[in-house]
Amino acid sequence: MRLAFGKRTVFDGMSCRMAKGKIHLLLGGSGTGKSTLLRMIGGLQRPNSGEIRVAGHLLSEKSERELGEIRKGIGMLFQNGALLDSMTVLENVGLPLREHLRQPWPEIATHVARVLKSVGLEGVEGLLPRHLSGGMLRRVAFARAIVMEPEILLCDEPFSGLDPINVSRIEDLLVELNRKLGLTIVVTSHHMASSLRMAHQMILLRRGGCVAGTPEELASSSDAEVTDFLGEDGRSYLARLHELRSGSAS
Amino acid sequence: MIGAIRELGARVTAGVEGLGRVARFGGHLVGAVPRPPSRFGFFVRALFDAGVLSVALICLSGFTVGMVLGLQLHTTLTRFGAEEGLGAVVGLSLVRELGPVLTGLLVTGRAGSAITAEIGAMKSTEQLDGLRMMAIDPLHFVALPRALALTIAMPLLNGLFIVFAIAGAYGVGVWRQGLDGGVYLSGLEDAVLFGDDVGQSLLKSLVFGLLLGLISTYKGHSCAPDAAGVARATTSTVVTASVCILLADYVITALWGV
Ligand SMILES: Nc1ncnc2c1ncn2[C@@H]1O[C@H](COP(=O)(O)OP(=O)(O)OP(=O)(O)O)[C@@H](O)[C@H]1O
Ligand SMILES: [Mg+2]
Repeated sequence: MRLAFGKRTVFDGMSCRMAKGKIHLLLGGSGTGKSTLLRMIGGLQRPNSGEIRVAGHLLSEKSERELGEIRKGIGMLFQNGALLDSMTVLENVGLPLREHLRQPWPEIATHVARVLKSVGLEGVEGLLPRHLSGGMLRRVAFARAIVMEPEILLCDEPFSGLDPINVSRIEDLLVELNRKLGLTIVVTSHHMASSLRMAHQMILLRRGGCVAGTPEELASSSDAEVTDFLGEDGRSYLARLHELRSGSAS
Repeated sequence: MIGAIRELGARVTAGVEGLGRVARFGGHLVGAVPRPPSRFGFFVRALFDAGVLSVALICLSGFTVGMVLGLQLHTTLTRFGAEEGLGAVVGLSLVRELGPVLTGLLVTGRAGSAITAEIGAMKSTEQLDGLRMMAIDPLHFVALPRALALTIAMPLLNGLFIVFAIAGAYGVGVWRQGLDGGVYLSGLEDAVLFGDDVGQSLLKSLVFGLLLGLISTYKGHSCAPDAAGVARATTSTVVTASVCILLADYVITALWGV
């Protein structure tokens, strides 16, 4: 797959697979194309050449209407939240329920309250997005992404701007969604510890392409760029995690 | 020389391409009208923003324009000893031309620009992409109710403008210049025909509303997603819609007369 904005090539000869029902961690320096890759998976951005398949559908062949059908099974958390700023939190999070399931508002309200509670928010339903703090905004946007219980969840920086308690809350939620509902999750994050803890697969973007592998594989990689990116902390953390996992397995 | 020709060619191609895009956008918009769910709540809100909030501006402008017309025309008509004709002249010029055109231009500045700016800001903060990811068509959700609201609001505001302008001219003509009120009103009544004059007025304002609705939502949807882009799109809405309204005014007037 190849993508360029004018003369700026973002991806060239990039190719990767993300297995169903797993948590994938997208890594890469700022500006390497993590958000762009998520937008492409969501069909918001088309590649210049090459193909993208989501659950067997070839996105480049689909009309906007057909993409809509596919997107009903995808939840997306945008890097800046992308909440509708003229609507309250309740209306924002409840919007997909209202649109696609035609639920009545009282039912939506209880559903939304439950989802908001799971991201650690209570009593904010009546507020407008501009009255929320940055971290609250991200969690509301996260609630909107998961409210329809999609099969695929794309999260752009779910942990940025959150305190440690909420980071671990979102992390637990992601792991639980993955375990209980078998969600396929793609996360981009700079929050090494929590992302490494939950990831089944890591994809490191670099120079238009990518290196993919399990955390263990990447940790033992001898590729200088990979080891640089993970850093000393990341590698020792992974090694410890590896010991723990093999320890608990035996 | 070759460069200049090439430049001209590129400009023309870009212009035609732009027209094509507007037409396609308009086609999508019309196609979205019957599609469920109905956006009645959003439509009412857009009608309030575009229509109700413009009422004060329209009334005040209408009244002022009427006063000026009353003063100017009365002086001119007196010169020919035809001041009884004031009602007829004021009525005809307002109903057929000034009402729809001035309302169109005022609403363009007041509501059309705001709609472009709002949609442009939604685009630049990825709100439209957010809607698309929720499998909601932004055209159906954002653009359609606003375009419809402008189309409906324009004839209503036009009527309001004309009524206030007629009142303004009455005030000046009768109270200031000492014309007989009955003469003014009966001249008005005799001159303005429902089918011909009021019909033309309605048609014009409907077309202007439609044009403004299409242009303002299209410019919002197609603007560059940053602050400068939104600013350019807003200016462009005002310029394009004003020119289109004036052009359409001529076309309708010419065709109506045939
Ligand atoms: N609409 C666009 N037009 C032109 N260039 C773009 C556009 N969107 C993204 N880019 C370019 O694509 C590259 C990747 O951007 P992207 O937002 O995907 O980065 P990212 O990996 O998400 O970075 P970050 O970690 O800072 O969020 C950037 O270099 C950016 O300049
Ligand atoms: Mg990004």
